[in-house]
Amino acid sequence: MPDTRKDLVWIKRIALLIAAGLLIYFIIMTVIIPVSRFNIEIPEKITGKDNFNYSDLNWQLKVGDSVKNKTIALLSQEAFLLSRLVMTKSDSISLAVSLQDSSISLVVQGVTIYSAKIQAFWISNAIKKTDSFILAQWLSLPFTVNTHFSSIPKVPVLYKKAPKDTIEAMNQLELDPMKDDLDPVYFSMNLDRKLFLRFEQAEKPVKGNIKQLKAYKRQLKTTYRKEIFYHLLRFSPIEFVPEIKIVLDKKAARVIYRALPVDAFVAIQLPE
Amino acid sequence: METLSEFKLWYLNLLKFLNKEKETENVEKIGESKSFLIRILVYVSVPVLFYLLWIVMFSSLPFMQETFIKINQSPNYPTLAFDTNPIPSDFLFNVEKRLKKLNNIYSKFSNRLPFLIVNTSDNTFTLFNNGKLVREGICSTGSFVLLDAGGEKKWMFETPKGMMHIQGKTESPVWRKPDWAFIEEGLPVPKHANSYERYESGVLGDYALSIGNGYLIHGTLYKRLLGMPVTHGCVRMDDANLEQVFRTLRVGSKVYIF
Repeated sequence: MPDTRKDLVWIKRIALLIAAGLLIYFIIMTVIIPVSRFNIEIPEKITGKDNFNYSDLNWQLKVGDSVKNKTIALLSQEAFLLSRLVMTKSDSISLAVSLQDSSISLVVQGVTIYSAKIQAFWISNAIKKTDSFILAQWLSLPFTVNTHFSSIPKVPVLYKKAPKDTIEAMNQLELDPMKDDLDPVYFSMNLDRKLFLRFEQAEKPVKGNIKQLKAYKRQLKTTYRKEIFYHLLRFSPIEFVPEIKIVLDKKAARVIYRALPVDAFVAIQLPE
Repeated sequence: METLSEFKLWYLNLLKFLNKEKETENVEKIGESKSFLIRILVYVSVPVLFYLLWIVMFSSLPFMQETFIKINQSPNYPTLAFDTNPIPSDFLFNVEKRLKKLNNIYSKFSNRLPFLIVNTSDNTFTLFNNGKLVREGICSTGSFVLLDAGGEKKWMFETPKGMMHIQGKTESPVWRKPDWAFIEEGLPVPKHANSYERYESGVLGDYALSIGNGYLIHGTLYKRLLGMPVTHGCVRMDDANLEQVFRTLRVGSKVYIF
């Protein structure tokens, strides 16, 4: 009997040690390594090319705050323009987000076909802490949407079975083309070069229609957790992906989500 | 009598003894059951607590990452470290020069020619000419109905998105009804593509502008449905709007649909 009790005590100790070890492993792989290794991924096309003439940098003059701010603003404008110029080469609809002007637009070959006001936005600390010059390089090429999730379908298909005769056609119920107008509009896009864009409607979701919102949030969480487990099981640290959250009115959010093609280009201008 | 009273005493003592025994037994039993309950509570609560801890860890992960984020830029990328390094004298000038050039290039993309924008989510349109808005209003676009006639016969009534061009303009157009128009009404489909039953005049309004693949911008008899997604993929407008669109756009003009 005393031997069994001793064994139990040891089992308890080992279990505790394993639990503590797992927690430490989790923190190291998901927080410590990702945040200490994080780097803004500058596109290869930019590095070494003459969009920004590094070789010309001839450090001579100390500057004050006003010059510093002006330089940052100009670099940011230049990066946004460069990015939109690249997008003009594409025939499909692209997205231009200017957090500086709080505006979001759909553009095709340089023509703005829709624009809306950004109600609010939130930017990840990782972006805020990065040097403006590096950010300008990062943003001087458009991003491409890799994956997307949403609370509304991209194409709101209504299924209708063909009637057998004219009587059945007469008796067929009319499908409501506006049936998803009350659905909450939330969507997010995983962009290349490590950026996560999250869009939310400014209006509170209607009480009876939060099922889709819950499903969307669940899908986001599941994908995130799956990725974490995938990395943890392979002893590889997860990657930290900075995020930008944009709040739009519901109508604008729906228009933008449905208009964008699956692999759309996205140009972003950060606030000063 | 004595033996009887002695027996009574003995019996009473025995009862007392037995009761005490029972009491001690009960106490032991209660003690055992208490420790059993505690053990069960511990065995259940520890995994539950552990599970909750993991949930907390997972949900607080973005917050923790955001709080402890560090930026270690690669030394390969030069930075504008204003506080430590001086800035080149011609740097600002060069950026301004480049920006001006880029703005000039980008402004060439702005369309001065007439073009039409159709918003299929809101069912609205805007007509531009010479860079200025000349007309806006409501229209009707694709209903997103998937008509299933069995087998491979399926039609999706969706207005195509992207950049189109006006490919043709017609006055007093006549509609040549496609197969789906008959199937949707439960009517037999005429065998010949040019069968007279297929032709219907007056339903497309006074004008029609083709944007390719059989899609048209045309008028409608069902004006109360304007502003709703009810068409089979074409863009419907009311008579006045359609006339202005017809007069403004030329063959080759761009139509942006999103």
